[in-house]
Amino acid sequence: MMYVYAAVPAGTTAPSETGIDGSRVSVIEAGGLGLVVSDHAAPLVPTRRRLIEHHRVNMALANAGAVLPFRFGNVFAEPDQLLSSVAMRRAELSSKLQRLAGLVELTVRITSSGEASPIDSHDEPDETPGRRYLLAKRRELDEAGRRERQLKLAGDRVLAALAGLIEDHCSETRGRQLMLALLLRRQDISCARTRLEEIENVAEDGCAWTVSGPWAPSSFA
Amino acid sequence: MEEASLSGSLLGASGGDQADFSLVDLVDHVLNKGVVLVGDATIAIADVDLIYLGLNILLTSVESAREAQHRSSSLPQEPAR
Repeated sequence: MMYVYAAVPAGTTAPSETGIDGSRVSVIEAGGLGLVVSDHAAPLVPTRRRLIEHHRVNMALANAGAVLPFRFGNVFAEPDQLLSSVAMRRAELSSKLQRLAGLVELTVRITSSGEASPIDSHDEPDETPGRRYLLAKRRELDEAGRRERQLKLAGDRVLAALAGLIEDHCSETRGRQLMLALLLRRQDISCARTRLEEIENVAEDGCAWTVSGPWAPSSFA
Repeated sequence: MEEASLSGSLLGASGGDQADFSLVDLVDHVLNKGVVLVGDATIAIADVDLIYLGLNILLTSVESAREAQHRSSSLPQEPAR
């Protein structure tokens, strides 16, 4: 079976990294694209080690040039199936690959402080149980709104601090967290991290941050 | 729950910049993002499609999930009524 890590420009050489389970990584050409693949006897169940191996191959490619990272688990029984799947989306894949050339991703995970009010709050003991429930629910919604505003402000502050460095960004709210994916040039990673540390040190919004990466630009693939 | 710290030296070996991230970040980027060419790419553990799981739920390692699957499959089955 053929496992696919990423698409790269045609003519790209295979990375020196070994692939999943120590496999040899090679590049096959399809429709003007290079596809980074390795051979396996069966579909691959994800494990932590395999996720790391997948990531390392894609980072080696990102550090060498343009890469369009694939999600873990793209497996084809026959090479022809892979080639026909790529042929159907060649224009889209080529366009994305061109856009991502020389770029990597940093992710900022911003976590809002504070807990929502418990729904079974007994702040107003004279109220009926139904009214108490609704008041608690309203407080919970108010708290969620406050968190959302807090996360947005923190996210805006990150983007403002990195003005001129980032090529693109996208964000996603997950409960108390805002995931901010930043697309930037490889050579700007250190500068971006320095700027983030500077504003984190003077943060007054009560949010906690973690910065991860660099990643192959999977959020923009 | 587990949010393993993975060493920068291990993950940043192929690049000049230090890599710094947790298992949750790794799962988010490698399992939840990136090009999917075919429907067969759906990834399942314990018969649950991970792609459709919110990552807030997936706070254990993939290996732990597999171990849990193995343990549950080895439990005696409830007799049919």
